[in-house]
Amino acid sequence: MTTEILRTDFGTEFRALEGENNRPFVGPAALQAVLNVGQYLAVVLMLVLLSGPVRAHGGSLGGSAMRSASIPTWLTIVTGGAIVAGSFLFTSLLTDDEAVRSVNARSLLLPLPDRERLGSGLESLGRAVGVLLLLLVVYRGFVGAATPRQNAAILVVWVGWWAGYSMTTYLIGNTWPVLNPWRTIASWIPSLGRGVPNRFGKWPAVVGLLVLVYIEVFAPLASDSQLLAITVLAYTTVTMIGAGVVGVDEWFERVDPLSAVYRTYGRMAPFHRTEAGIEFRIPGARLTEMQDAESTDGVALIIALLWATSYDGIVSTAAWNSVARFFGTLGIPPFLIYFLALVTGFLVFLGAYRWAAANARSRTETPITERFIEGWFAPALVPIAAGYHVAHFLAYFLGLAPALAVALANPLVPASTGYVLTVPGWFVNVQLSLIILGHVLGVWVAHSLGLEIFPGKIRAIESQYSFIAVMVFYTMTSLWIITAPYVPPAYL
Amino acid sequence: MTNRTINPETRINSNSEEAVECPHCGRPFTDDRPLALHVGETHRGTLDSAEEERYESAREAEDEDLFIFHLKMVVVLGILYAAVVLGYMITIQTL
Repeated sequence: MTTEILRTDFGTEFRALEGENNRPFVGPAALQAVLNVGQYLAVVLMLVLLSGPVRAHGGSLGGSAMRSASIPTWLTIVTGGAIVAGSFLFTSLLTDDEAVRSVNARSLLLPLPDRERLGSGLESLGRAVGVLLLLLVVYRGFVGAATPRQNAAILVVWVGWWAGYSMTTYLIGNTWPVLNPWRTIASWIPSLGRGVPNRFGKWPAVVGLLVLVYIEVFAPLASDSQLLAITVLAYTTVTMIGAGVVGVDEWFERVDPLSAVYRTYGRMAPFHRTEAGIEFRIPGARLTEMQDAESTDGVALIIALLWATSYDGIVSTAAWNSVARFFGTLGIPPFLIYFLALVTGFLVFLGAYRWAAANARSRTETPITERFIEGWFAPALVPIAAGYHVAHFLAYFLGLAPALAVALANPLVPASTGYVLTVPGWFVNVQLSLIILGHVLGVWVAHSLGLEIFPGKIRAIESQYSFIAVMVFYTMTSLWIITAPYVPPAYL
Repeated sequence: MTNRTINPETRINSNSEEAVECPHCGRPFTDDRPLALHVGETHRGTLDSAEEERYESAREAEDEDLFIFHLKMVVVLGILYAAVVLGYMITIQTL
């Protein structure tokens, strides 16, 4: 949604971007020329490898006019599903659990010289940067340029933070506990330290995440900078009162949805901080080191994260528009339609996953409970959520990064121009690799986790059937959303 | 390799056959073979000779099944691959 709003506001530049990226890789004429038997297979293979993301990328930038005649959308979607299923079949051949474990356990420790001082110095710097950026967003939100592409508040929040920074939390490491300006400010304020009752678990974060996504979709936060500043202030107020009542650590670990999002993403990141220094691990490997299963609320949180990105995309599809308008003609107010869609979609994603866990239990005839299986395999969904996020935002981030840099270079004066970068055509291959990597990582993590709790190998693999079916469903949903031409969401 | 023991939450359906329990950690299993495999994989180093024997035979049986299983997986992989290629061939021809 945010991307979509920005996109419409950034009109010409993005249309130029679309044209650049939507050039068909293999036009019909070119195809005719090379279609002899010997080269056929190579062409087909190339299409398998290239078509999905080409379409996906074009679609995500909203252009249907540029649609080339090469590959129908349904085939792109099916191919995505086939790639995920195929990667499962490949991993099923790797049944040496010792080898699997040793691959996941590989690590490299990067010692920090003079750790104490350097660490605390960097921390103070990170905290200061976070708070300054928050102040800048509120200030420029109220007095900044009316054009989104020149408004520092909008660029910092959507391009710098939600697209760019979020990527660093799963591609590099979770730095949010330090950067989080609200945490820094909350630590200056005395707290009552009441705590959150244990029975609430992580549910407040789950509900908070869904509420944030709802607000993000429903309110024009990427085009109206004043509304954005007001929202940021409202979030600040709620956070300060909350942290003041329940305690800073308690609030950011159990309630604050943004911290929960970055903590979840950070679990698959290659870098993380240990007692001895910074440890480097194969991306996703730390997800396989479960001591115990996630609790039901932990599962719900991961599913909410997965659903949040999908919901954001679904509302700008033609299919959603006709559904929304149908309910609109029945007299249901738009805010309720969007709310019901949010809840329904979340329950469908959660339901599909829980079905997979129940199915794995009965298929393998194991006495392990559904609840444990559910919680045990949930981390495998994190790379899928991250893969979808990066597919959604990378070109958007790179395209608008110069505008962000211009706005930041002179933060107190409104930028007079908003430079926008045109991402080259081959760039889709990078996106393709990242999408596939996300899915394959998910399959690998689930496979590694399966070998840990099921005795023998066959049962461990059999336990994956239903999970793979659900992953294919998630993937195909994402691809459908991304390839669907952009339609402005109804009633917004 | 990490030396962790995972204790999954378990439940035995009351109508199913009697469960067998791991003598080392008490984890229940619905069948002898998964039990023998579990004992051999998780409690290695503390096995008596009977357990060792049961583990070896369970592993041999598992390996045989695994071979057939892998063959099936390769066949499915081949079918999937062929289906995708054919899907593209037919689609391109009808364009």
